[in-house]
Amino acid sequence: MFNSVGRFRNLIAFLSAVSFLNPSSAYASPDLNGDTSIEINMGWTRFESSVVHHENRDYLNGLSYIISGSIAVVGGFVGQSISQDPLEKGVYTVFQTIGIASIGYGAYTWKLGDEDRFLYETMKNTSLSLSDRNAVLKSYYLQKTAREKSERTIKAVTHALIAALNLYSATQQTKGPIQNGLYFVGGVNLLAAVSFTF
Amino acid sequence: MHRWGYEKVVIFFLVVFSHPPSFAQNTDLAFSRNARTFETQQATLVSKSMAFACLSMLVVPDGLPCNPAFTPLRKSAILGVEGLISNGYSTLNTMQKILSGTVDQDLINTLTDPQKRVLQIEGNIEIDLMSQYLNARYTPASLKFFSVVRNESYPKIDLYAVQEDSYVFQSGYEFAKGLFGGLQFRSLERKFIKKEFLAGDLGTDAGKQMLTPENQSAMYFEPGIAYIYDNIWKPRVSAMLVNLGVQSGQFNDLKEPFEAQISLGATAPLKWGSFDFEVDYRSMTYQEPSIIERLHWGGFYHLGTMYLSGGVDYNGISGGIYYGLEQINAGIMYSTTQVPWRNEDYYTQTVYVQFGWQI
Repeated sequence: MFNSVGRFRNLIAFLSAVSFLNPSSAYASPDLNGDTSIEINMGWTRFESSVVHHENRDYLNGLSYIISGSIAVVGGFVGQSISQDPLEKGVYTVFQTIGIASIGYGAYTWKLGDEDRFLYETMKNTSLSLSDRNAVLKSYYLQKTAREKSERTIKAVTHALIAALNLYSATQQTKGPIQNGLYFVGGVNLLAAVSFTF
Repeated sequence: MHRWGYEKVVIFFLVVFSHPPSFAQNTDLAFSRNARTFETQQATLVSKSMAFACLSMLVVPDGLPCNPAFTPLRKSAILGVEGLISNGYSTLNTMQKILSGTVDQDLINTLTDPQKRVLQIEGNIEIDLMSQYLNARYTPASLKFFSVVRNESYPKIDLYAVQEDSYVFQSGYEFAKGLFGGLQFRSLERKFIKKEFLAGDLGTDAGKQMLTPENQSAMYFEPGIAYIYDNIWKPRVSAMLVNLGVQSGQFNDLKEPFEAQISLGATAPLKWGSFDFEVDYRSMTYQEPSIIERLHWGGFYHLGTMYLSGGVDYNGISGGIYYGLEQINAGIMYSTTQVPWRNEDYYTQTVYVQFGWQI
């Protein structure tokens, strides 16, 4: 359908142009509420108040995900029943899939929360002294930082391999639309690999 | 305040899910063009459903911000692919034929078919990268096509077909508390035809020559500025200068002149979710004669993974719903040119769907 060579050249140019990008660690939903992560040198008292704040936020966020997910599931059935077009029906199916995932994600956020909440629940009922707790916290966050770095490296390599495989397959493909699709998937993964490298 | 929020949810939900069942709802008598597709405008599904009133949107959930000044507001990076298509996708082959200059009998029959007096389609695929420092978008293909046969006794065809690929880079900075500035670089290459001719002309060689596509490339530097007042509702004013740059050729058929755009917006914080509303002054066709035709009103309610959006302007009314969670997202929107202030028998209804994948 399109001139695949020209498109690929453009894609490579695009990837080169953005390769200096240094994104933050998480590829996730937009977060405009500011960074609420806990600092490495944070003491137990500040950690405790931060986690309590997180619990309240997790309750509201979790329920929001559950409510919006439920609307997606119910609305999806309604939409599918009144639409006749296969693409439109497909959107409602995706809505329902996201809806169920959203309900699960909401329940997890509300009831379990993140690792910090888990650590807090684990430590708060122990007989550890304040200085011991501070020491555990410091070690925990040092480990967490190192772990995130390793995780990014593994992700970069994984995406690079997927990119290489798809780009190679694209060069072997003669059917235009399939070739374009493979270039496309390869290019996206190459961009992800570059992003995780920095 | 909370009751008001839920009422909005219900209203938007009813609007979105109560549209007519047929996907291709262009009525046989529809002579008007789609309310949310314009030759030189590219926007995401959520922006379209808000009637393009997005210049003051702090975050566009399914794409780059309309104003580059808001770039620093994004705290986490996203890489994603979004694909959007409107109803009428069966006309893609027709559009492809026109833009490749293949004017054969099959194409002529399609364009002059009295049973299909209106043909239209919009579709695009884009790769988006959004972060705190830089946003980038590569659009390998953006397609827009519109064809209408007017006057049955002496048929006249009015059509445009635009195929475009483009890059967009954005960056922004917070110069002082609440004061943001940004710059957008936009580069594009397009192939297009925009003509009005008699159907009978297609029977001659000279008539077929009219359907030779034009090529155009352009580069624009578009600065934006925004100020967010320090208030829980985040009232804000936003402005942008667009189409400031060079074009490879000047075509009377397809103009993209310099324009100053301005917008006001605010976010109502609700216990359950939030409600954003915006009003923009901006042009879609650069030919609107009055200010009222350049005003666009839009809003969205955000709760968890759901964005319920709606918009109204002189061109029509639209409403949509968009869901996004981690890797996968999807949205659907509905627009109509049937508006209370225009008492016309002919109108166009369009459904857009969008699928996305993020890593």
